[in-house]
Amino acid sequence: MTGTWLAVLALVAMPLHAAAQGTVTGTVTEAGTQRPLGNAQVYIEGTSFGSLSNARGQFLILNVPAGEHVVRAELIGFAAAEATVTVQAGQTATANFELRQTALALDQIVVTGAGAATERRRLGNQIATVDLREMEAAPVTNMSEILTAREPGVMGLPSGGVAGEGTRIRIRGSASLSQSNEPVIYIDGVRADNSQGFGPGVGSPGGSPSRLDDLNPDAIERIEILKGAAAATLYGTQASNGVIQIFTKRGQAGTPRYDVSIEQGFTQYPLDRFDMHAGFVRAQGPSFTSGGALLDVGATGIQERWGISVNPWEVFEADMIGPQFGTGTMQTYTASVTGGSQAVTYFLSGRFATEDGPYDGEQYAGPGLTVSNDKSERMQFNANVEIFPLDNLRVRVSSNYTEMDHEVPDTNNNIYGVLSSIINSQPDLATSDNLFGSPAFATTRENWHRRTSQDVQRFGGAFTTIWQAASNISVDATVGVDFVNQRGVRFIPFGWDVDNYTSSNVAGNRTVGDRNHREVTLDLKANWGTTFGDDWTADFVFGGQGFLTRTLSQDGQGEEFPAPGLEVTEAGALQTVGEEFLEEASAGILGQAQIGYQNFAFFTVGARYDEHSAFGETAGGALYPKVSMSIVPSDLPGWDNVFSTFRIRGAYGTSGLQPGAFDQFTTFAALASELGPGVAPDNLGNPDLKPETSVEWEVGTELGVFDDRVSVEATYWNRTVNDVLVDRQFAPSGGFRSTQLDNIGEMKSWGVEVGANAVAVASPDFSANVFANASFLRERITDLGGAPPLKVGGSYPRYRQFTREDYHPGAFFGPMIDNSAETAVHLGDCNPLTQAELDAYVSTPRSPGDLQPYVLNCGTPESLEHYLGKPVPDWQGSFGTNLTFFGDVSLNTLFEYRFGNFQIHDLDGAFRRSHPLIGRNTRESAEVESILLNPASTTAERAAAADKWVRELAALSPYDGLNEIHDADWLRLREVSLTYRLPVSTAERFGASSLSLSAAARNLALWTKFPGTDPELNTASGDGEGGLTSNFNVGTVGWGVPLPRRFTVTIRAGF
Amino acid sequence: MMRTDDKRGRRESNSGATARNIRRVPAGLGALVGVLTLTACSGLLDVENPNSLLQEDLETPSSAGALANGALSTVAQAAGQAIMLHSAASDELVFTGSRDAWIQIQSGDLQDAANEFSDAAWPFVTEGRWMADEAVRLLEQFDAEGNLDEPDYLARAKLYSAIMRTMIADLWEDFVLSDRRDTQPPVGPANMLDFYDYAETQLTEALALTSTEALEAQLLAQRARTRHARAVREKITPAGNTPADPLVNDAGANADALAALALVEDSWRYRFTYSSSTVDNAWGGWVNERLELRPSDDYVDATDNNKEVESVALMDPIDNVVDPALEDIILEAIDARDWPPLTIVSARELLLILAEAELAANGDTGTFRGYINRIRDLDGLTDYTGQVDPEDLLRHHRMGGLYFTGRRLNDHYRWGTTSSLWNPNASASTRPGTLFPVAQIERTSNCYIVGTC
Repeated sequence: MTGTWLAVLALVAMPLHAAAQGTVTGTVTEAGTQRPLGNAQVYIEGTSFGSLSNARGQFLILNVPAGEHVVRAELIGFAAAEATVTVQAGQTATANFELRQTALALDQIVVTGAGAATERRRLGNQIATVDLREMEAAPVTNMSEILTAREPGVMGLPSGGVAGEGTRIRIRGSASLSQSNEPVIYIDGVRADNSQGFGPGVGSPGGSPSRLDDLNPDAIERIEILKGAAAATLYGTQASNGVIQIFTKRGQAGTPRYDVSIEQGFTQYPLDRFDMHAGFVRAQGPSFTSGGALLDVGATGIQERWGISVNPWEVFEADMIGPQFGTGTMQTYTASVTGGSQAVTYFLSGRFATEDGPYDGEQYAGPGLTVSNDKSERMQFNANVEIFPLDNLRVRVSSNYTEMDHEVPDTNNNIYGVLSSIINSQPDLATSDNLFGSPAFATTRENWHRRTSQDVQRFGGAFTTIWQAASNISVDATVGVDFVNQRGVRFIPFGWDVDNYTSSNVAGNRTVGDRNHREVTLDLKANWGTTFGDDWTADFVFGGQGFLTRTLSQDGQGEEFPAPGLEVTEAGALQTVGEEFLEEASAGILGQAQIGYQNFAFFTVGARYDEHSAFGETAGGALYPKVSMSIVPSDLPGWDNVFSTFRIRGAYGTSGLQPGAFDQFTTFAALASELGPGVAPDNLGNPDLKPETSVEWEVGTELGVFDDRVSVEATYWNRTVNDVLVDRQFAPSGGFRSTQLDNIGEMKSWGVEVGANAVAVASPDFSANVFANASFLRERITDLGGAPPLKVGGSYPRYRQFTREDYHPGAFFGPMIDNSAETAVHLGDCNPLTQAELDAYVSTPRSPGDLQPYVLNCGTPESLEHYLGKPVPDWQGSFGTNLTFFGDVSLNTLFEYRFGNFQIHDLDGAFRRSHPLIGRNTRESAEVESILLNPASTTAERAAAADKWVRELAALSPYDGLNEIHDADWLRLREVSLTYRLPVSTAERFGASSLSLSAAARNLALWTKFPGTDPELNTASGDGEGGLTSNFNVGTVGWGVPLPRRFTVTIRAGF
Repeated sequence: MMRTDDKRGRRESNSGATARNIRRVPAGLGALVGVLTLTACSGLLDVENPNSLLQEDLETPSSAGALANGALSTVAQAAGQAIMLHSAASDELVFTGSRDAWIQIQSGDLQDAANEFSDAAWPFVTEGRWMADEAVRLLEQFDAEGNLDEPDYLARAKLYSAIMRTMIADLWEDFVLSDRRDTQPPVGPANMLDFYDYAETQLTEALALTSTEALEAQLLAQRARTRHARAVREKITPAGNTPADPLVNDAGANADALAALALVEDSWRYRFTYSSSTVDNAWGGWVNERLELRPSDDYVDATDNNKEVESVALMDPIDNVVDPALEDIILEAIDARDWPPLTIVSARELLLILAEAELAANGDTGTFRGYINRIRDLDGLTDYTGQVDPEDLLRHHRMGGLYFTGRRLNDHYRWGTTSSLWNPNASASTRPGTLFPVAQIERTSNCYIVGTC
C-alpha cells in the first residue's frame, strides 16, 4: 500500500524533472586496499541527486540533468573526494572514487547549532557527531547505549541493569542544581520528550525506562551533540545542558533497497559481584529465640534448609542470590527499504525488539498468582518521505511511531524489591515458609508478586520545507510534534502475602497513571550567503522558534480488593485519584552572522532572545549572545608542515534553563480534612524568577599528521552558571515545607576533552584503527546565595550527597572515625574507651550494636558534615580498536573507564555489613558478630572484632556515611564484536546483495576495587525531570541489579 | 533502609481544588509573532495551570471553610508526626525494622537535631502551626469585615491552633514562629510556656464564638488538657531534675474538665480521623504498613517474627486482666491500617485530670475513687477500693488509657521513671525533661540560628 502511494507521488512529481537527463554511475573503493566501500554517500553537488554505494561499492544516480556536474563521495572515516562529470541526455557518465582513510573530518557538514548546514571547519565550537553507519555491528540496542562512551564529555548514567532500563545522559557534568540536567533532544528538528519514569502516581520502583530509548536506532543516520552553551546558544532557554539532535535516515533514489537483520542473544547478571550470604547460629536448635524473637533457626534448621552442617557460632555461607536469576533472552528483528526517484525518495523502517531479562521467579508464584518479570518490548516504525516538487523546493516529511511494553520487578531502594529483600535476608532465619530468611517487610517470595509495568504509544512527526529562494537565499520551515501516551501500572495482587509475612496491602492495591505529553515545535529560519570580493564570504541566519508543551497527568488508585483475580482500580474499596495539568510555552528569535576569509578563517556572531511562560512576572525575557572563531592555517595555500591539518578555534556563548511552570507563584494545594475540602501551603513563590544562564567559552584545536591518518582533537571549556536556580529551603517555621527556587547561586565548571584517532595499519589484508578519548571534569558550587546546603533525599539520612558551597555538586558528607583516642569505641555517650576499658567491656559477650564508633564531632550534627568525596570522576572516557582482517572480518572493541577522585556510596553493602536486623550477612560481619557474641571467644578476640567493627563495618544511623563510601575507579569492556562480511558473490547465491554475520558481547568484564555490586548503578531511577535526588543521586548504589553481560549473534542482509 | 512509594502523602490536586487559569501576555515579541504564522495570536505564551490556589484566592470569604478545614488537615497531619515521635521516645513503640534512626530515639537520645525522624516531623509541625494561625488570621479578618457567615469556622481554626501549640509545647524544648519568608529566632525554652497561654487564649475566644454544643465540649476539654499540660511542663522545666511532687492540681484545668464532662458521656473522645481521601497518620505507615516499629513489650506480646502484635500484655493491676482500654486502642490502631484515629482529648483524660487533682489535693479520697471508678466502669473493671497504691493506679490508667496520645514521655519525667528501652547514657535518662530540639532543617535555614541575619 505504501509503495503504491509512493509510486503515485513519484509519477505526479516526475514531469517536473522530465527534461534532458542522464545517469551517473561508478564505484567507491578504499585507497590502498581497493576494498569496495558500501554506504558511501555519493551526490551531485548543489542538487538533491544522490545515492548510496552498495556492498560492491557501486552507485547509480538516475535522472541527472544534462550538463557538467561535480560529484562528491563521502563516508565517515574517509576523506571526501570529488569528480567532475559531463552528463549527456540518455547517456551514462562514470565517476570512480578512491577514498582515503582519515582520522579528521573537518569537511563534515553539521547542522545543529550552526543555524544552517555548515562545514565543521567554519565553527568555532565543538560539535560531536555519532554516525550510526559506523556502528552496524556494535552491540547496542537503544539510544542510551549508542550515546554511551562515544564522545568525550558525554556520559551515560544507567541506574541499573533491569531489562529495558533507561540511561540518563550528562554532557559536561551538571549545569543545574535544581532543574533537569538532561540535554534537550531534537529529532529531525523537532523537540522530543526525554523524560524517564513510569508515570504519575506509580512511583519509582527501579528499572525505569527512558523515553530516549523509544527511538528506533536502525532509522537513525547520525546524531549531532552540542556539548554546552557555547555551541547551543541558538537553542536558547533549555539548552544549557547541551543539545542532542537525531537525524533519521532519508530515502535514496534508485530501485528499492531492502535491509533486514535478525539478532538473537542472551543476558546474564554477573552474580559474582554479590558477596555470598553468611550467617551463624547460636545453638544446635531447632531455633534460638530471645524475648520471643527468632534470632536463628539453629544448626538443625540450617541443615534442614540449606543442607549445610554447622556448629554453633561457626559462620556458614549460602547462595541466596543465584536462585532468583536465570539466563535472559532477547531478539531483535529489523527491516527497512529505501528507494524512489529524483522527485520522491522514501525510507521505511520497522523494528521489533524484545528482551526477557534474567529475573526468573516462576518457581515462587503463589496459587493463582503471577510473578513479576523483567521484560521489555518495543515495536518501532519510521516513514520518511522527501519530495522535490520544484527544483528549488524540497518537502520532507518524517515520522516515527513506537509502541512499548515494559515490566519490572520492584528493585532499587525499595523495601518490597525482590533483590532488596534477598540482599537483606539472613540465611540463618530461612525456613520452609520464609525461604531466604527475610527479616522484615515481606519475604522475597512475596515480593515476586508485585508488578510494575508501562505501555507507551508515541508518535513523532516533522514537516519540513526547504525553499531555495535564490542561489544564495534559502528559507527552512519545520513544524513538528512529539506525542507520548504513557500508561504506568503498579499492581499488588490480592493475597500476595503468600508466606503470611507481609502486612502491606494484603488485599491488593493497583495504581494506574496516565501521562499524556505533547510537544509542538515551530521553527523558521532564513539563510543568506554572499561574498565580498575574492576573499570574504558572509552567511546570515535569521529565524525564530516556538515550543508548546502540554502534559496531562492522571492517576487512580484502588486498594483492598474483595477477592483475588481483580485487576482494576475500581474494584478497590478505597479509591483515590490525582490529576495535574501542566502547560508551558516559549518563543524565541535568533540571528547569526558568519564572516569567512579566504576559506580558512571564520568569525561568527549571533544571539537569541527568549520569552517563556515560566519566567516570573517581573523577570522579562532572556538574551543569549554568542561569538566564535575558527582558523584553519593548514588550509592556507602553500602549507607544508608536519601537521597535515591544523585548526584552532574558540567560542563564547550563553544559554539558559527555565524554572518549572509553577515556581513563580505562591500556591496552596488541596488537602482535604475529615470535615471537608481544605487547603495547605504548597509553593512559597517568587515573582522574580528567571532562567539560570550558562556562560561558556571553549578553545580547542584539531591536529592531523601523516596525511591525517593520526589525529588529535583537544578542547578546553569553562562554564559559569549564573543566577543558578537554587531549590532553597526557607525556614520551615514560616509555614511552607517545600523548597522554593531562587536565582541566587553560581556554579563554575571547567574541563578538558581530548580525542585521538589513528589509522595505524591499512593494507589489503589487515587494517587497524585505534581510538581513545578522555575528558576531565571539575565542577564546583561557588555560591548558594546564603541558602543552606541541601541534601539529596531530604531528611532521609542514608543518602549522603549534598549541594554545598565550595564543593562538587552531590559531594558526599558523613562521619569520620576520630583516631585521636586510644580506641574508636564508645558506648553511646561519646566518651571513647581506653583499651583497658574496652577489654573489660568485651570480657563478656557483646552485641556489635553496643559498640559505637567514636567519630569526629561525636554526638553533634557536625559529625555528619565531613567531606567524604565526590560521585563524579575527574576522568572518564573510552578507547578501543577497529581491526579488519582480509577485508571482510572485523573485530571491534570498546573499553570505557572512569577514574580519579571518584567515590561511590555502597548503601546496600552498608546494610549488609552493619544493620542489626536486616544485615550483618556478609562473611566478615557475620564473623565479627559471632566472635563478639560467642561466650567462648577470648577477650582479645572480641577486642579485635570490636575494632574491626567500628573501623570497617559499622554504618547507618546515626553514623550514616561511615564505612559506606568507597573509591570507585573502574574499567569496563563495554563492547566487543566480531563480524564477517560474506563475499558479495556468496551473498548473491542467497539472493542478497550483502550478507554479514556478527557475534558480539556487551559489558563483558569489569575491573574495579569498588566493593559494591556495580559502580555504575544508582538509586536515582526516577523521572529524570530534575530535583536534587534525580540530578545527584548518581553516586549511591542501592539494591540494584548490575549491568548484565549480553551476548548476541546477528545476521544482516541487503537486497 | 529504604523507602517505598506505595503511599502517597498529600494528594496535591485532588478534587476540591478550584480551577485557576494563569495567564501571561508577553511583551516584545511582536516580530516573532509575525514570523511564526502558526502562533500568530496575541496570547502566544498563554498557559493554563489549574492545579493550585493562589494567595488571593484564600483572601476571599468564600474560602472560609477551606481555611478551617486546611487548618484541621495540616494540624492532623502534624499531630500524627508528633505523636509518632513521642511514642518512639517514650516506650510505647519498639523498633523492629530497617530505619535505625528510630533506635536513637527509642534509646532516649532525643537531642540529635539531625535525627531523621525528628528532622522530618518538624516541617509538618511548623506547617500545621502556621496554617492554623493563618486560618485564624484570615477568618478573623473576614469576621471583622462582617463577611464571616459561619463563626464556627473561626472557632474551629482557633481550636486547631490551640491543639498544635499545646502539642508543640509538650514535645519540643524550643520552637520558632516565623511567617513565610519573615523568619524569626527561636522563642527560647524559657518561653515555651507561652505556647500554652496562647492556646488557652485561643480556646477562650473560640468558646465565645460558638454556640454548637459539640464544639463547645471540644474547646472546654482541650482547654482542660492544655492547662494540665502546662502544669506538667512547669514541673519538668528546666530539664535535669525530677519534681518532688509529680501530681498536678490546676484549678482551671479542673473547672474546664468538669464543664466538659457535663456536656459529654464518659466514653466521649475528641479525635482526629484519617482516611485515604484526606491525610495519613504517620503511625499507619511506620507501624502497620512497613512494620518498622510495633508496640513495645511493656504493652504487648509480639508475634513469632517479632514484627506485629500477638496480644496486648499490659495487665490491670487490680483484676489482672489485659487492660481493656489499651487493648481497644491498639487493636483499633492496627486494624485502621494507614489511618488510625488519634485521640486529642477524651472524657477518660478529663477524669484522670480530676482524679489526679484530687489525689494531689486530698489523697485517696472517695472523690478520687469516684473519678477512677468511672474510668474502670467504662472498661468493665472492678472498682478500685484501695487494692493498690492510688498513684500507681493513676499512672497505670494514664499509661494504658492515654496510650498513643503523647502523654507518656512527660509522665515518665515527672514521675522519675524511665523507659526500659532508654540507654542509661542517653539524654532522656541523664537529663529528665529532655524534649526534642529545634530540628536541623530549621537550624540550617533560619538566619537567626545560622547567624547571618
